[in-house]
Amino acid sequence: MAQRNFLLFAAVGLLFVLTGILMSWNVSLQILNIGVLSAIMALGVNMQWGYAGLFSTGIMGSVALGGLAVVLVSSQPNPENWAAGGPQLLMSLALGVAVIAAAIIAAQKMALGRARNFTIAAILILGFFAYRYFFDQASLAIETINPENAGNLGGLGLPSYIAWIVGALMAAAAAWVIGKTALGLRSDYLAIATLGIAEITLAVMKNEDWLARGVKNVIKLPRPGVPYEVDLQQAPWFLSFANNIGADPITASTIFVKLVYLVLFGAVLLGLIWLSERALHSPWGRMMRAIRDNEDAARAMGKNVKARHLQIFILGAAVVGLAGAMLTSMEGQLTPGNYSPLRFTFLIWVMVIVGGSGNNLGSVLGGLLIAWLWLIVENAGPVIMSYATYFLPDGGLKSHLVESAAQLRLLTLGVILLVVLRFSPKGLIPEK
Amino acid sequence: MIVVEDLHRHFGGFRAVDGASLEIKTGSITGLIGPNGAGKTTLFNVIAGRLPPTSGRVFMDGEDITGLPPHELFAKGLLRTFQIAHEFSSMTVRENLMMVPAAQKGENLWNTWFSRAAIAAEEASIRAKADEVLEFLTITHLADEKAGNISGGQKKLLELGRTMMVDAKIVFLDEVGAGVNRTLLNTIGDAIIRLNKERGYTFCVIEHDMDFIGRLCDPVICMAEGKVLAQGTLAQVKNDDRVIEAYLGTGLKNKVKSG
Ligand SMILES: Nc1ncnc2c1ncn2[C@@H]1O[C@H](COP(=O)(O)OP(=O)(O)O)[C@@H](O)[C@H]1O
Ligand SMILES: [Mg+2]
Repeated sequence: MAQRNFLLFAAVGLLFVLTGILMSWNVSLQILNIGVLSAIMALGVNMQWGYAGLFSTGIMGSVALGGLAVVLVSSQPNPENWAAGGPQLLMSLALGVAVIAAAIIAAQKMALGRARNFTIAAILILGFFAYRYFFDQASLAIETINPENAGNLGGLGLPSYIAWIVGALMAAAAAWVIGKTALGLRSDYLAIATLGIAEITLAVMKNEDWLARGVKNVIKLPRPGVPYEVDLQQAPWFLSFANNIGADPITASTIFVKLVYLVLFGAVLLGLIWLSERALHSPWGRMMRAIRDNEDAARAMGKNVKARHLQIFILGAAVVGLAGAMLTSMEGQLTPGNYSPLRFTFLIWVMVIVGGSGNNLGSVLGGLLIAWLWLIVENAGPVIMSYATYFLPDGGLKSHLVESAAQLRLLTLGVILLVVLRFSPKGLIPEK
Repeated sequence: MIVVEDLHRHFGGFRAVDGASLEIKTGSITGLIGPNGAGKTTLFNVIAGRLPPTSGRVFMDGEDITGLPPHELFAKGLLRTFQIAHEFSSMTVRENLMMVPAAQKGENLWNTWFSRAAIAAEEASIRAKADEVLEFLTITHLADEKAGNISGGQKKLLELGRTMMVDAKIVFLDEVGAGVNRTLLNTIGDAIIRLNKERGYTFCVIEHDMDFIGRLCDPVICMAEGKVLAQGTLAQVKNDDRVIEAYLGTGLKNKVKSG
């Protein structure tokens, strides 16, 4: 068993080595870094699905919240925009919360009947307009100041590591809200709720320019303590280092930066694996397996199934949010348009299933392998297709085939999923 | 121990439990008999918090426990087993037992990461307890077997064993003898009597095997069509006209008379 796992990981490692040799080490390391982040996301989903059987269709939402946190925490503040309407905006949001709270209190305190219905409706309708009035004024004021470069409130200018933690916390908070309402109901409600909240999150991020510039994107997000290539290329120690190993300083600097990311992300991944393995091989893990085996019996044996489901659902989302924040920090920009359910929900699911759900190592393997496939087919697909269509005459068909070769990755994924499920239905590294 | 007052549980228009009132006395092994579909399992499900009642009340030692969730009832010492065995099939028999004790230190995530020593100590004592239970039930040889792979009767025994991992006050056993061979049934019967005598467990036992009921239970309550028909010793209940009539309807008269 251990030998088989080792071979599987060695095989995936070989893929990255071959990519490095045949294409370039830059590409290989870039894919590997994304693979490590994907592996972390897969770990989070595996907690929800593999340990507890909770089916989330909103993984993308957690990733996006993590990305948003990077903007809100680690980007520089925009004092002019803040002065234009920051406090007013916060007040209007507070007003919105107060309106909802008032409606809830009215619903709880008043006796059933017309008066209650009327009061609740009045609070909500008037409250909504009052909220929108202040909110629109404030957000407009913020968005009109320096819209080309800012137009948003900006962040707190804090270190990226804090942003990662906040990203995890924001994803956890969203999961708490969803879990509180949808857990304990039939499982399809959870699937629907997560899908809906993820799309709403994304819609807010795309449309609320005061928050994170919407689809205008936020660029130049700071790196998490990782040096910049241009600085390395000027640093005497790096130049002499590059000289010593006989490498071109520019290439060396790009590779060096990616290696630093790899160490950083790899450390987080290993830490998370350590934490989850410890938890799984403990009475906590035994309890979770019991709940997954038979909820009714676990309840009858005194376990608070709903609370445990909420716990693991929140933890899983937090891990995904953390990876989402790390991804945005590495890319250095927040691009809401890039968050698609295909890339950040479906693909992560494929990683968990192909790797073997219920198994942490499986998720990591699946994350690395599928990320590699996804990105390599995108890069190598057109090249391969142009060889494959070598014998065709130049013209419409050939160029069409070559141009759409990037889409091959969907086909490839489908084939991989089918093959793995056919020959190893429980994934490449099945749960014992 | 348990008082049930005018309990109803309807499914749509169907009255599975239709105004049942009964009492289970502390220290007793109360039998609950009745033809299939009488509403016995549904009654258990309502008492044990798995289903909410349509109306009616359940009291435990004078406290209203109607509609409390199962894990809170467990904490109060009210445990149950299932008509169809509910083992944790992917776990070993020993793990099935070890998961039971409440509020284990190792169920706290923080402790699983940072208090390994405390957990190890607690695990050792829980494991010893589990091994004791296995020995009590004479299934020590099954300890490392996956619970999904043992026989139906052994699963029933395992479910009884789970209730022994804590200090229960009352245990509801649903058809503990269904599909269990004679020898194993005797083992189960012995275990129930010992638990009742030595550890003061109160039992409420649903069972169709009248020999088994006769050996263990006093009093016996008979249900049919969601109502309690009769209560008393097995002999009294068996001679109750309404009980005979209820069983006649399902062709079990001979079984009752001869048993
Ligand atoms: N969840 C349910 N939905 C609908 N009908 C049910 C449900 N559970 C039990 N019943 C019905 O209630 C009646 C009593 O069932 P049950 O309590 O299992 O009887 P017993 O355990 O005495 O054999 C049966 O007719 C059964 O079909
Ligand atoms: Mg039944």
